[in-house]
Amino acid sequence: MDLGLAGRVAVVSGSSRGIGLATALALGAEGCRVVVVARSADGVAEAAERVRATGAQVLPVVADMTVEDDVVRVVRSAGERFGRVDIAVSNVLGHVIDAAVEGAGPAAGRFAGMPAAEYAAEFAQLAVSTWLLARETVPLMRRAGWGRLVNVGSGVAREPKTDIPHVLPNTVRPVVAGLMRTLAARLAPDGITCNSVLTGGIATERNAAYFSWLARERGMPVADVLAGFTTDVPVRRMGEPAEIASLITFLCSARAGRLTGQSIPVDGGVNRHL
Amino acid sequence: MDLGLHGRHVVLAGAADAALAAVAQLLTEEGAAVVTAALAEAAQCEAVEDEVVDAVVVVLPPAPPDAVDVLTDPATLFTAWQPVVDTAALYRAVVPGMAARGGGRLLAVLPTAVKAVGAAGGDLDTAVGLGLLGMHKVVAAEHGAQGVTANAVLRGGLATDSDVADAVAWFVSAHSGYVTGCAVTVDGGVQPSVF
Repeated sequence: MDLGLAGRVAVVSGSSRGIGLATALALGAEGCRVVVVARSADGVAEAAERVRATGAQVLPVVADMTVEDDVVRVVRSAGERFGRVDIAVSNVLGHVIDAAVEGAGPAAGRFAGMPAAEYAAEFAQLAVSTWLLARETVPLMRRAGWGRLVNVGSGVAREPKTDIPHVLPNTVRPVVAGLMRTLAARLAPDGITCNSVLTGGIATERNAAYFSWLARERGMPVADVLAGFTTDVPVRRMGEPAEIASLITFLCSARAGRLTGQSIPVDGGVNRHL
Repeated sequence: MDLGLHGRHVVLAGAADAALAAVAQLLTEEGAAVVTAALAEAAQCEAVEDEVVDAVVVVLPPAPPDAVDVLTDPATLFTAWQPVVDTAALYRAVVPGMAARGGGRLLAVLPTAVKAVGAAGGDLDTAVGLGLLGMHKVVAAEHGAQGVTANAVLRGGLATDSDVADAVAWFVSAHSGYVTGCAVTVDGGVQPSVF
Protein backbone atom coordinates (compact mmCIF):
# COMPACT_ATOMS: atom_id res chain seq x y z
CA MET A 1 0.00 0.00 0.00
CA ASP A 2 1.44 3.36 -1.02
CA LEU A 3 1.30 5.56 2.07
CA GLY A 4 2.15 8.76 0.19
CA LEU A 5 5.01 9.55 2.57
CA ALA A 6 7.82 10.02 0.06
CA GLY A 7 9.66 13.28 0.72
CA ARG A 8 7.86 14.06 3.96
CA VAL A 9 10.07 15.32 6.78
CA ALA A 10 9.66 13.58 10.12
CA VAL A 11 11.07 14.56 13.50
CA VAL A 12 11.16 11.51 15.77
CA SER A 13 12.20 12.13 19.34
CA GLY A 14 13.79 9.39 21.40
CA SER A 15 14.76 7.65 18.19
CA SER A 16 18.10 6.11 19.21
CA ARG A 17 16.42 3.02 20.65
CA GLY A 18 13.21 1.07 21.07
CA ILE A 19 9.94 2.40 19.71
CA GLY A 20 11.50 5.67 18.51
CA LEU A 21 14.18 3.89 16.50
CA ALA A 22 11.66 1.46 15.02
CA THR A 23 9.49 4.44 14.02
CA ALA A 24 12.41 6.26 12.41
CA LEU A 25 13.27 3.10 10.45
CA ALA A 26 9.67 2.55 9.33
CA LEU A 27 9.22 6.17 8.22
CA GLY A 28 12.60 6.08 6.47
CA ALA A 29 11.59 2.93 4.61
CA GLU A 30 8.49 4.76 3.34
CA GLY A 31 10.64 7.54 1.88
CA CYS A 32 10.48 10.12 4.67
CA ARG A 33 13.45 12.33 5.44
CA VAL A 34 14.08 11.65 9.12
CA VAL A 35 15.40 13.82 11.93
CA VAL A 36 16.85 11.36 14.44
CA VAL A 37 16.85 12.89 17.92
CA ALA A 38 18.04 11.54 21.26
CA ARG A 39 20.14 12.55 24.24
CA SER A 40 23.11 10.26 23.63
CA ALA A 41 25.56 11.30 20.89
CA ASP A 42 26.67 7.71 20.33
CA GLY A 43 23.06 6.52 20.24
CA VAL A 44 22.09 9.18 17.70
CA ALA A 45 25.08 8.41 15.46
CA GLU A 46 24.38 4.68 15.49
CA ALA A 47 20.63 5.09 14.89
CA ALA A 48 21.23 7.63 12.10
CA GLU A 49 23.43 5.07 10.34
CA ARG A 50 20.68 2.45 10.56
CA VAL A 51 18.00 4.82 9.29
CA ARG A 52 20.29 5.89 6.40
CA ALA A 53 20.53 2.23 5.45
CA THR A 54 16.81 2.33 4.57
CA GLY A 55 17.77 4.80 1.85
CA ALA A 56 16.44 7.79 3.80
CA GLN A 57 18.05 11.18 4.14
CA VAL A 58 18.82 11.66 7.83
CA LEU A 59 19.56 14.64 10.04
CA PRO A 60 21.01 13.46 13.37
CA VAL A 61 20.54 15.85 16.29
CA VAL A 62 21.66 15.34 19.87
CA ALA A 63 19.06 16.96 22.10
CA ASP A 64 16.93 16.56 25.21
CA MET A 65 13.33 17.06 24.06
CA THR A 66 12.22 18.03 27.55
CA VAL A 67 14.42 21.14 27.32
CA GLU A 68 12.79 24.09 25.55
CA ASP A 69 15.96 25.40 23.88
CA ASP A 70 16.72 21.93 22.56
CA VAL A 71 13.26 21.49 21.02
CA VAL A 72 13.57 24.89 19.34
CA ARG A 73 17.04 23.98 18.02
CA VAL A 74 15.89 20.58 16.68
CA VAL A 75 12.97 22.02 14.72
CA ARG A 76 15.04 24.97 13.45
CA SER A 77 17.76 22.54 12.28
CA ALA A 78 15.17 20.39 10.53
CA GLY A 79 13.72 23.45 8.79
CA GLU A 80 17.17 24.65 7.70
CA ARG A 81 18.20 21.26 6.40
CA PHE A 82 14.98 20.08 4.75
CA GLY A 83 12.90 23.27 4.40
CA ARG A 84 9.85 21.78 6.14
CA VAL A 85 8.55 19.57 8.93
CA ASP A 86 5.49 17.45 8.16
CA ILE A 87 5.54 14.87 10.94
CA ALA A 88 6.43 15.14 14.62
CA VAL A 89 6.50 12.04 16.79
CA SER A 90 6.80 12.85 20.49
CA ASN A 91 8.37 9.94 22.28
CA VAL A 92 9.79 10.89 25.66
CA LEU A 93 10.24 8.76 28.76
CA GLY A 94 8.58 9.71 31.99
CA HIS A 95 9.43 8.28 35.39
CA VAL A 96 12.64 6.34 35.69
CA ILE A 97 12.97 2.83 37.04
CA ASP A 98 16.67 2.29 36.23
CA ALA A 99 18.67 5.46 35.56
CA ALA A 100 21.49 3.39 34.04
CA VAL A 101 19.14 2.39 31.20
CA GLU A 102 16.75 5.33 31.00
CA GLY A 103 18.84 8.35 32.01
CA ALA A 104 17.71 11.11 34.34
CA GLY A 105 14.08 11.61 35.33
CA PRO A 106 11.73 11.51 38.30
CA ALA A 107 12.00 8.23 40.23
CA ALA A 108 9.14 5.73 40.01
CA GLY A 109 7.05 5.34 43.13
CA ARG A 110 3.68 5.05 44.81
CA PHE A 111 1.38 7.82 46.00
CA ALA A 112 2.53 7.40 49.59
CA GLY A 113 5.98 8.91 49.77
CA MET A 114 5.94 10.61 46.35
CA PRO A 115 7.12 14.22 46.81
CA ALA A 116 4.70 16.72 45.26
CA ALA A 117 7.50 18.26 43.20
CA GLU A 118 7.90 14.98 41.28
CA TYR A 119 4.44 15.48 39.73
CA ALA A 120 5.73 18.72 38.23
CA ALA A 121 8.81 16.88 36.98
CA GLU A 122 6.72 14.15 35.34
CA PHE A 123 4.41 16.77 33.83
CA ALA A 124 7.44 18.56 32.38
CA GLN A 125 8.87 15.32 30.98
CA LEU A 126 5.72 14.06 29.31
CA ALA A 127 3.22 16.86 28.79
CA VAL A 128 5.33 19.99 28.40
CA SER A 129 7.74 18.24 26.03
CA THR A 130 4.83 17.11 23.82
CA TRP A 131 3.40 20.63 23.88
CA LEU A 132 6.79 22.17 23.01
CA LEU A 133 7.28 19.91 20.00
CA ALA A 134 3.78 20.81 18.79
CA ARG A 135 4.36 24.53 19.40
CA GLU A 136 7.52 24.49 17.31
CA THR A 137 6.30 22.28 14.45
CA VAL A 138 2.67 23.37 14.01
CA PRO A 139 3.50 26.73 12.36
CA LEU A 140 5.50 24.85 9.69
CA MET A 141 2.69 22.34 9.20
CA ARG A 142 0.08 25.10 9.01
CA ARG A 143 2.08 26.81 6.29
CA ALA A 144 2.02 23.57 4.30
CA GLY A 145 -1.63 22.84 5.13
CA TRP A 146 -0.65 19.31 6.14
CA GLY A 147 0.76 17.77 9.26
CA ARG A 148 0.88 14.78 11.57
CA LEU A 149 1.43 14.82 15.32
CA VAL A 150 1.72 11.47 17.05
CA ASN A 151 2.41 10.89 20.71
CA VAL A 152 3.87 7.63 21.91
CA GLY A 153 1.81 7.30 25.05
CA SER A 154 0.91 4.57 27.48
CA GLY A 155 -2.09 2.37 28.18
CA VAL A 156 -2.27 3.95 31.64
CA ALA A 157 -3.72 7.02 29.96
CA ARG A 158 -7.01 5.08 30.10
CA GLU A 159 -6.43 2.34 32.62
CA PRO A 160 -4.10 3.12 35.51
CA LYS A 161 -1.75 0.40 36.77
CA THR A 162 -2.09 0.10 40.51
CA ASP A 163 -0.17 -3.12 41.19
CA ILE A 164 3.19 -1.41 40.67
CA PRO A 165 4.69 1.97 41.72
CA HIS A 166 3.14 3.95 38.90
CA VAL A 167 1.53 7.04 40.39
CA LEU A 168 3.40 9.52 38.17
CA PRO A 169 2.46 8.08 34.74
CA ASN A 170 -1.02 7.19 36.03
CA THR A 171 -1.46 10.90 36.75
CA VAL A 172 0.23 12.48 33.75
CA ARG A 173 -0.32 10.09 30.82
CA PRO A 174 -4.06 10.90 30.69
CA VAL A 175 -3.10 14.56 30.57
CA VAL A 176 -1.02 13.99 27.45
CA ALA A 177 -3.84 12.08 25.75
CA GLY A 178 -6.18 14.94 26.60
CA LEU A 179 -3.70 17.46 25.23
CA MET A 180 -3.38 15.53 21.97
CA ARG A 181 -7.18 15.30 21.68
CA THR A 182 -7.49 19.05 22.19
CA LEU A 183 -4.81 19.73 19.59
CA ALA A 184 -6.70 17.44 17.19
CA ALA A 185 -9.82 19.57 17.55
CA ARG A 186 -7.98 22.86 17.08
CA LEU A 187 -5.71 21.76 14.23
CA ALA A 188 -8.08 19.68 12.11
CA PRO A 189 -9.03 22.69 9.92
CA ASP A 190 -5.32 23.07 9.05
CA GLY A 191 -5.03 19.51 7.74
CA ILE A 192 -3.10 18.43 10.81
CA THR A 193 -4.03 15.20 12.57
CA CYS A 194 -3.10 14.42 16.17
CA ASN A 195 -3.20 10.93 17.62
CA SER A 196 -1.86 8.96 20.54
CA VAL A 197 -0.63 5.40 20.48
CA LEU A 198 -1.18 3.83 23.89
CA THR A 199 1.58 1.28 24.27
CA GLY A 200 1.74 -1.64 26.66
CA GLY A 201 3.94 -4.73 26.96
CA ILE A 202 6.39 -3.78 24.24
CA ALA A 203 9.80 -5.50 24.30
CA THR A 204 12.06 -2.47 24.75
CA GLU A 205 15.22 -2.01 26.83
CA ARG A 206 13.13 0.20 29.08
CA ASN A 207 10.62 -2.56 29.74
CA ALA A 208 13.45 -5.07 30.26
CA ALA A 209 14.76 -2.77 33.01
CA TYR A 210 11.26 -2.62 34.42
CA PHE A 211 10.91 -6.39 34.55
CA SER A 212 14.36 -6.74 36.17
CA TRP A 213 13.31 -4.24 38.80
CA LEU A 214 10.02 -6.06 39.36
CA ALA A 215 11.88 -9.37 39.74
CA ARG A 216 14.13 -7.88 42.45
CA GLU A 217 11.11 -6.33 44.18
CA ARG A 218 9.26 -9.66 44.26
CA GLY A 219 12.30 -11.87 44.85
CA MET A 220 11.49 -13.88 41.71
CA PRO A 221 13.48 -14.82 38.61
CA VAL A 222 12.93 -12.36 35.71
CA ALA A 223 11.68 -15.23 33.52
CA ASP A 224 8.89 -15.96 36.02
CA VAL A 225 7.87 -12.30 36.17
CA LEU A 226 7.78 -12.18 32.36
CA ALA A 227 5.80 -15.40 32.15
CA GLY A 228 3.32 -14.02 34.68
CA PHE A 229 3.00 -10.84 32.65
CA THR A 230 2.42 -12.50 29.30
CA THR A 231 -0.15 -14.86 30.85
CA ASP A 232 -2.26 -11.76 31.47
CA VAL A 233 -1.83 -10.54 27.88
CA PRO A 234 -4.54 -11.94 25.58
CA VAL A 235 -2.06 -12.57 22.74
CA ARG A 236 0.38 -14.18 25.24
CA ARG A 237 3.54 -12.38 24.17
CA MET A 238 5.37 -9.09 24.36
CA GLY A 239 4.90 -6.74 21.42
CA GLU A 240 7.70 -5.62 19.13
CA PRO A 241 8.66 -1.97 18.65
CA ALA A 242 8.07 -2.49 14.90
CA GLU A 243 4.39 -3.19 15.64
CA ILE A 244 4.01 0.24 17.22
CA ALA A 245 6.04 1.78 14.42
CA SER A 246 3.75 0.34 11.75
CA LEU A 247 0.67 1.94 13.29
CA ILE A 248 2.48 5.27 13.71
CA THR A 249 3.56 5.10 10.07
CA PHE A 250 -0.01 4.48 8.98
CA LEU A 251 -1.27 7.35 11.15
CA CYS A 252 1.33 9.64 9.51
CA SER A 253 0.36 8.54 6.02
CA ALA A 254 -1.73 10.29 3.41
CA ARG A 255 -4.31 7.55 3.99
CA ALA A 256 -5.10 8.60 7.56
CA GLY A 257 -6.10 12.21 6.96
CA ARG A 258 -9.47 11.75 8.63
CA LEU A 259 -8.19 9.60 11.45
CA THR A 260 -7.60 12.15 14.20
CA GLY A 261 -8.15 12.69 17.91
CA GLN A 262 -7.72 8.99 18.64
CA SER A 263 -5.92 7.16 21.43
CA ILE A 264 -5.23 3.72 20.04
CA PRO A 265 -4.06 0.92 22.31
CA VAL A 266 -1.33 -1.39 21.00
CA ASP A 267 -0.97 -3.71 23.95
CA GLY A 268 -1.87 -7.25 22.96
CA GLY A 269 -5.42 -6.74 24.17
CA VAL A 270 -4.62 -5.85 27.81
CA ASN A 271 -6.96 -2.84 27.81
CA ARG A 272 -10.38 -3.65 29.18
CA HIS A 273 -12.43 -0.66 28.04
CA LEU A 274 -14.91 -0.91 25.18
CA MET B 1 4.16 -0.52 3.13
CA ASP B 2 3.66 -4.23 2.46
CA LEU B 3 0.61 -5.20 4.48
CA GLY B 4 1.30 -8.92 4.15
CA LEU B 5 -2.13 -9.53 2.66
CA HIS B 6 -0.97 -11.25 -0.51
CA GLY B 7 -2.78 -14.57 -0.90
CA ARG B 8 -4.84 -14.04 2.25
CA HIS B 9 -8.50 -15.05 2.18
CA VAL B 10 -10.85 -12.36 3.37
CA VAL B 11 -14.60 -12.67 3.88
CA LEU B 12 -16.25 -9.30 3.59
CA ALA B 13 -19.76 -9.35 4.99
CA GLY B 14 -22.43 -6.69 4.80
CA ALA B 15 -24.80 -4.85 2.55
CA ALA B 16 -23.52 -4.29 -0.99
CA ASP B 17 -22.84 -0.58 -0.57
CA ALA B 18 -20.04 1.81 -1.53
CA ALA B 19 -18.09 1.27 1.70
CA LEU B 20 -18.04 -2.48 1.16
CA ALA B 21 -16.94 -1.98 -2.44
CA ALA B 22 -14.10 0.34 -1.38
CA VAL B 23 -12.82 -2.18 1.17
CA ALA B 24 -13.07 -5.01 -1.36
CA GLN B 25 -11.16 -3.04 -3.98
CA LEU B 26 -8.31 -2.02 -1.68
CA LEU B 27 -7.84 -5.47 -0.15
CA THR B 28 -7.89 -6.99 -3.64
CA GLU B 29 -5.25 -4.49 -4.77
CA GLU B 30 -3.15 -5.64 -1.80
CA GLY B 31 -3.31 -9.20 -3.13
CA ALA B 32 -6.01 -10.67 -0.90
CA ALA B 33 -8.63 -13.07 -2.24
CA VAL B 34 -11.85 -11.33 -1.22
CA VAL B 35 -15.26 -12.96 -1.02
CA THR B 36 -18.22 -10.71 -0.34
CA ALA B 37 -21.47 -11.93 1.14
CA ALA B 38 -24.56 -10.62 2.87
CA LEU B 39 -23.99 -10.78 6.63
CA ALA B 40 -26.86 -13.19 7.23
CA GLU B 41 -25.46 -15.66 4.67
CA ALA B 42 -21.75 -15.16 5.19
CA ALA B 43 -21.36 -17.97 7.74
CA GLN B 44 -22.49 -20.44 5.08
CA CYS B 45 -20.29 -19.13 2.25
CA GLU B 46 -17.83 -21.43 0.51
CA ALA B 47 -14.66 -19.91 1.94
CA VAL B 48 -15.98 -20.41 5.46
CA GLU B 49 -16.96 -24.01 4.69
CA ASP B 50 -13.48 -24.62 3.28
CA GLU B 51 -11.88 -23.21 6.46
CA VAL B 52 -9.44 -21.03 4.56
CA VAL B 53 -10.48 -17.66 5.99
CA ASP B 54 -7.66 -15.43 7.27
CA ALA B 55 -9.74 -12.34 7.94
CA VAL B 56 -13.37 -11.38 8.34
CA VAL B 57 -14.56 -7.82 7.87
CA VAL B 58 -18.15 -7.11 8.84
CA VAL B 59 -19.48 -3.79 7.57
CA LEU B 60 -22.63 -2.97 9.49
CA PRO B 61 -25.22 -0.78 7.81
CA PRO B 62 -26.64 1.92 10.08
CA ALA B 63 -29.87 1.04 11.91
CA PRO B 64 -32.26 3.83 10.92
CA PRO B 65 -34.94 4.32 13.58
CA ASP B 66 -34.61 6.34 16.77
CA ALA B 67 -35.04 4.56 20.09
CA VAL B 68 -38.16 6.59 20.76
CA ASP B 69 -39.70 5.36 17.51
CA VAL B 70 -39.12 1.71 18.34
CA LEU B 71 -40.82 2.05 21.72
CA THR B 72 -43.98 1.32 19.79
CA ASP B 73 -42.72 -1.91 18.28
CA PRO B 74 -40.32 -4.23 20.12
CA ALA B 75 -39.83 -6.26 16.95
CA THR B 76 -37.70 -3.40 15.63
CA LEU B 77 -35.27 -4.03 18.46
CA PHE B 78 -34.81 -7.63 17.42
CA THR B 79 -34.34 -6.58 13.81
CA ALA B 80 -31.61 -4.17 14.88
CA TRP B 81 -30.03 -6.87 17.06
CA GLN B 82 -29.89 -9.47 14.28
CA PRO B 83 -26.51 -8.31 12.88
CA VAL B 84 -24.93 -9.15 16.26
CA VAL B 85 -26.35 -12.67 16.05
CA ASP B 86 -25.15 -13.00 12.46
CA THR B 87 -21.70 -11.67 13.32
CA ALA B 88 -21.41 -14.11 16.22
CA ALA B 89 -22.32 -16.96 13.88
CA LEU B 90 -19.77 -15.85 11.29
CA TYR B 91 -16.96 -15.39 13.82
CA ARG B 92 -17.74 -18.77 15.42
CA ALA B 93 -17.59 -20.41 12.02
CA VAL B 94 -14.15 -19.02 11.16
CA VAL B 95 -12.28 -18.86 14.47
CA PRO B 96 -11.42 -22.59 14.78
CA GLY B 97 -9.85 -22.58 11.31
CA MET B 98 -7.96 -19.37 12.05
CA ALA B 99 -6.69 -20.78 15.33
CA ALA B 100 -5.56 -23.99 13.64
CA ARG B 101 -3.59 -22.02 11.06
CA GLY B 102 -1.87 -19.68 13.52
CA GLY B 103 -4.24 -16.74 13.67
CA GLY B 104 -6.55 -14.36 11.90
CA ARG B 105 -8.24 -10.99 11.93
CA LEU B 106 -11.82 -10.17 12.88
CA LEU B 107 -12.89 -6.61 12.22
CA ALA B 108 -16.24 -4.86 12.42
CA VAL B 109 -16.93 -1.53 10.74
CA LEU B 110 -19.56 0.27 12.81
CA PRO B 111 -21.05 3.76 12.97
CA THR B 112 -19.47 6.23 15.44
CA ALA B 113 -22.88 6.31 17.14
CA VAL B 114 -21.48 3.34 19.05
CA LYS B 115 -19.53 5.79 21.20
CA ALA B 116 -21.73 8.88 21.14
CA VAL B 117 -25.44 9.37 20.73
CA GLY B 118 -26.10 11.11 17.44
CA ALA B 119 -27.95 14.41 17.09
CA ALA B 120 -30.58 12.64 15.00
CA GLY B 121 -31.16 8.94 14.53
CA GLY B 122 -28.84 6.02 15.02
CA ASP B 123 -29.91 5.33 18.59
CA LEU B 124 -30.03 1.62 17.98
CA ASP B 125 -26.53 1.74 16.49
CA THR B 126 -25.33 2.83 19.89
CA ALA B 127 -26.99 -0.03 21.71
CA VAL B 128 -26.29 -2.75 19.16
CA GLY B 129 -22.75 -1.61 18.42
CA LEU B 130 -21.83 -1.71 22.09
CA GLY B 131 -23.02 -5.31 22.13
CA LEU B 132 -20.60 -6.07 19.32
CA LEU B 133 -17.73 -4.29 21.06
CA GLY B 134 -18.44 -6.29 24.20
CA MET B 135 -18.36 -9.51 22.20
CA HIS B 136 -15.11 -8.41 20.54
CA LYS B 137 -13.47 -7.98 23.95
CA VAL B 138 -14.35 -11.56 24.82
CA VAL B 139 -13.17 -12.94 21.48
CA ALA B 140 -9.93 -10.93 21.86
CA ALA B 141 -9.35 -12.34 25.35
CA GLU B 142 -10.29 -15.94 24.54
CA HIS B 143 -8.54 -16.26 21.17
CA GLY B 144 -5.60 -13.86 21.44
CA ALA B 145 -3.35 -16.74 22.43
CA GLN B 146 -4.18 -18.37 19.07
CA GLY B 147 -3.23 -15.25 17.14
CA VAL B 148 -6.81 -14.19 16.43
CA THR B 149 -7.46 -10.47 16.93
CA ALA B 150 -10.82 -8.67 17.07
CA ASN B 151 -11.10 -4.93 16.47
CA ALA B 152 -13.55 -2.32 15.27
CA VAL B 153 -13.34 0.72 13.01
CA LEU B 154 -16.01 3.30 13.84
CA ARG B 155 -16.89 5.42 10.83
CA GLY B 156 -18.69 8.71 10.85
CA GLY B 157 -18.38 12.44 10.39
CA LEU B 158 -16.33 13.34 7.35
CA ALA B 159 -14.95 9.87 6.70
CA THR B 160 -15.23 8.72 3.10
CA ASP B 161 -15.54 5.10 2.02
CA SER B 162 -11.91 5.27 0.98
CA ASP B 163 -10.87 6.54 4.45
CA VAL B 164 -12.66 3.56 5.96
CA ALA B 165 -11.02 1.14 3.54
CA ASP B 166 -7.54 2.49 4.34
CA ALA B 167 -8.04 1.97 8.07
CA VAL B 168 -9.54 -1.48 7.50
CA ALA B 169 -6.52 -2.46 5.43
CA TRP B 170 -4.08 -1.65 8.23
CA PHE B 171 -6.21 -3.33 10.88
CA VAL B 172 -6.46 -6.62 8.95
CA SER B 173 -2.79 -6.49 7.95
CA ALA B 174 0.06 -8.63 9.20
CA HIS B 175 1.26 -5.60 11.18
CA SER B 176 -1.67 -5.35 13.57
CA GLY B 177 -1.10 -8.54 15.58
CA TYR B 178 -0.53 -6.70 18.88
CA VAL B 179 -3.72 -4.65 18.51
CA THR B 180 -6.82 -6.40 19.75
CA GLY B 181 -10.02 -5.46 21.55
CA CYS B 182 -9.65 -1.96 20.14
CA ALA B 183 -12.19 0.41 18.56
CA VAL B 184 -10.73 3.26 16.54
CA THR B 185 -12.83 6.12 15.22
CA VAL B 186 -12.35 7.48 11.70
CA ASP B 187 -14.45 10.61 11.46
CA GLY B 188 -12.17 13.57 10.85
CA GLY B 189 -12.22 14.39 14.57
CA VAL B 190 -15.95 15.21 14.67
CA GLN B 191 -16.76 13.21 17.80
CA PRO B 192 -15.44 15.33 20.66
CA SER B 193 -14.82 12.69 23.31
CA VAL B 194 -11.21 12.23 24.50
CA PHE B 195 -11.53 8.43 24.59
